[in-house]
Amino acid sequence: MEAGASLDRGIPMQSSPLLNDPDRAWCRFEPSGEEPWDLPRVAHLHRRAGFSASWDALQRDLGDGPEASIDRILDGEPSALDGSPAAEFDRLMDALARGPGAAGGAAGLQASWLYRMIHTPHPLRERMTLFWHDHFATSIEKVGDPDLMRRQVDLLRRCSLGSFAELLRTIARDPAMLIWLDATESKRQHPNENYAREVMELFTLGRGQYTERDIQEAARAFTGTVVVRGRYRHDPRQFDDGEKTVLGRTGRFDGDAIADILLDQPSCARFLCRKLFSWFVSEVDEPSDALIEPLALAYRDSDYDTRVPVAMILRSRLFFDPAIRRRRVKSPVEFAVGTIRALEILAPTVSTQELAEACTRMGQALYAPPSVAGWDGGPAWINTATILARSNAALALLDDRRRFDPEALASRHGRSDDPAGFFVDLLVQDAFGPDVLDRIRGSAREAAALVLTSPEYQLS
Amino acid sequence: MSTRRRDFLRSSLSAATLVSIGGPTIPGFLARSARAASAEGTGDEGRILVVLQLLGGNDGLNTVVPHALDGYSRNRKRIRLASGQLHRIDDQVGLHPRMGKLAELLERDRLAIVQGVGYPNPDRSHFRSMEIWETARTDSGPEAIETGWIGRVLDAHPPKPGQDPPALHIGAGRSPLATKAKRVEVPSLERVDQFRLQLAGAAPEQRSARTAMSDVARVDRGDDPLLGFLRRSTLSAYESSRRLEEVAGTDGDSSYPNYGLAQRLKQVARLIKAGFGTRIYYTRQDGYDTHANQFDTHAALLNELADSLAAFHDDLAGAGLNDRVAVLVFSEFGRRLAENASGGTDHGAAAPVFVVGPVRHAGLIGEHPSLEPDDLDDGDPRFHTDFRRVYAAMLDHWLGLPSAPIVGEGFEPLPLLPPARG
Repeated sequence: MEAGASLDRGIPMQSSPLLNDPDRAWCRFEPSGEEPWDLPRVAHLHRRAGFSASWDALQRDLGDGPEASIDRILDGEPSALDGSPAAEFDRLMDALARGPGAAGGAAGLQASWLYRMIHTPHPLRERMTLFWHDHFATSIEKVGDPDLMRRQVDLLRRCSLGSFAELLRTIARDPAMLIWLDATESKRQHPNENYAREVMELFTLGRGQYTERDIQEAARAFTGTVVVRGRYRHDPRQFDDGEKTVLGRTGRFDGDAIADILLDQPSCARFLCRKLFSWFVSEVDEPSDALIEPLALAYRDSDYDTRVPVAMILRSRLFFDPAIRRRRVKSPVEFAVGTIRALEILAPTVSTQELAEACTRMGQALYAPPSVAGWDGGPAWINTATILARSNAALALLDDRRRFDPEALASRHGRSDDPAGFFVDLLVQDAFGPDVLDRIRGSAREAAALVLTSPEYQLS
Repeated sequence: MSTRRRDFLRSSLSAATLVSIGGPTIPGFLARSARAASAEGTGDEGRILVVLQLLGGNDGLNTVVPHALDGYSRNRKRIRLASGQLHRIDDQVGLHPRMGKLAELLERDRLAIVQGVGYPNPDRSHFRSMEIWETARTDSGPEAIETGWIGRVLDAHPPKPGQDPPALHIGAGRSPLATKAKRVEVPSLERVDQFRLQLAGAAPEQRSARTAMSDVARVDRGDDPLLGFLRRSTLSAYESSRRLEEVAGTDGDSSYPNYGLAQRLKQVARLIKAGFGTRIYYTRQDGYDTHANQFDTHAALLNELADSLAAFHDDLAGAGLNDRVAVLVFSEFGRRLAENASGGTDHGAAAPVFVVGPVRHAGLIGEHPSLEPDDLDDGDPRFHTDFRRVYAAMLDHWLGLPSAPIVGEGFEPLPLLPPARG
């Protein structure tokens, strides 16, 4: 008899049949009698594409229907949660990160990004910035200079829902990335292979799609790269301008040319779309090549406009299939920011310095991913220590009486008679069966604690 | 409902019964701890393995330094270590100057150094080579990386309900692939103090809140594997939390240096000294990926390693427990023989492995790999000892568990540690 069983033993039993039906999976979701535009679907949209949303946002989108709600997710809201207009909020947040954020080192950067996520008018943009932060994982622990990290994340945010081609070309000149990969001094006589390896293995193609020879040749194209005092410089004297052969093509390539060759590989769009699938759809269902192909084709056809596959996913039948709910584990940042946004802990909001420390205890230190491969995500977020950290973070929010009153929240939304029901509807909707619902009881504070620490709430 | 699920439900219910009884179970637990420390302590059941992974690929050539080999001085200029500064092991090799504490353990016959450890067709990608070391498999199908070598040990010898976790990962970040099992979750913690559920109110309120939270997680939800995993992890976290609160009363020994690694090993020692039943501990020291300007960085890492291992050893020796604990130190690969243009070294192949504890033969095991150009493996020292023979020694000899089902057939255990009496 064992004390535990693990996830990957079982065959997932309720996988969506749409996973095996690419044509139907990616066609537009249209509400119907059987598949209505209901609270669980609205909440799912916010949870997956942004963060868990407030009761008012859920009710508004329930009334507005999928089209308008998804447009708003893709384009952002007109104003931030602190009431300021979106453009003004963005300028303020950029300035916050540039000034006090970067001045506060890793902790300052983390706190200012969390503050931005809590109030952002454009949650999808922040989630996609997190996506690229995981994809181009670079850690301040090695880079050292907080301002270089800030500039990298600014770049990721600027390109988050835009051109991946531009992002890929630019990241090859990003000082933080080059320091992170020990590629600050690549000379003609001693080409540094590190960036060339990672750009293929982790950023574009994935293992098995290139040879060691391709890496060595591509490394020559990245020679002449120098970082001096935090600035990228190209040194033509150190650039190897001879012919290189990479992935079957020959020419006097430079770094941008290598990026173009990589983007031309069909495996590149497939590799990225698999990652988008696991980010937005499911971390436990392995998508077939046939399911990924329509996304990948659309991505390539759009010249790698990231908004295209993202919109295709968010508007799809598959995305709104109840069988793909709770197929992801919330990252610590999703858990923390979503909880604060859903509970409307905004005026004043929490100390985001403390929240950053809590996220670190839950396993996610922003600006400090564990390796060039980023965070493992999925079940890897969960272990004894991180479970306790999640529970403790939730309990700390509920016990902070100065900032949050659960009774008042339920009563403000007309549910003072049934606070337990309110927190279930707000946070997990239809996820609990009757046996679990029976156990969600007590005061508003007690009921909220039971929902926030439940296994269901850790999933998205 | 599957048999497994029913079994699990029963086991978690029995653990819950234990929890709800409260006070009266504590003497039982202490009695078990006492047994662990005394009766079990003399048998093989009381033996403990600590695995320490050096992340990034440790430069073995500047750790156990072959100063007398021409190939060393030919290929290393800026980062060469002068023979006069080394801690002598034999005429040919010596330990890095900053590893004096490890040299002392060697003099006291508590250290074995296996030279030239690796595997065929070395892979120079961190991820792949770590996968190979952590799974003890060189094939790369999805099934091959499903479980780690320690994880497979746990699957083959599953813990009984209510026992302490059979393995623990001490450290921040991801639990290692090495401890990934199919049927057992290996907890991960940075400090024992983090294992407290921070409930508000007085003790009775805390108890009832904890019970209510556990009750929510305990309800069987049917058939969803991801949710089931979350449920079990939650219950296991709340239960381990109680257990660790009980054993981690005092902060204990303050003779550890203020290094991250030393502090993690101190947590391990606290649990061992408290009679915790965990037999395998896993921890890591990061930073060995020294592509540039490695001279000072590497020296500081090795100093942290040596001082931390020595403090841990001495702490356990003071408690009379040092013959029950063996520490295995490895890295995913060594580094290239030739230094690079940045005063660092790139990813290489074979490297030495350390074992600290009641070793059978202190000192070097096996020859230093040749550094002559014709003998190299694509520019790197060539392995002569498969790492799975080291694992086999830890399993067959030290823990008394058959190694063949875990690491495969044909890996004869190296004579590193006294065999278990079975």
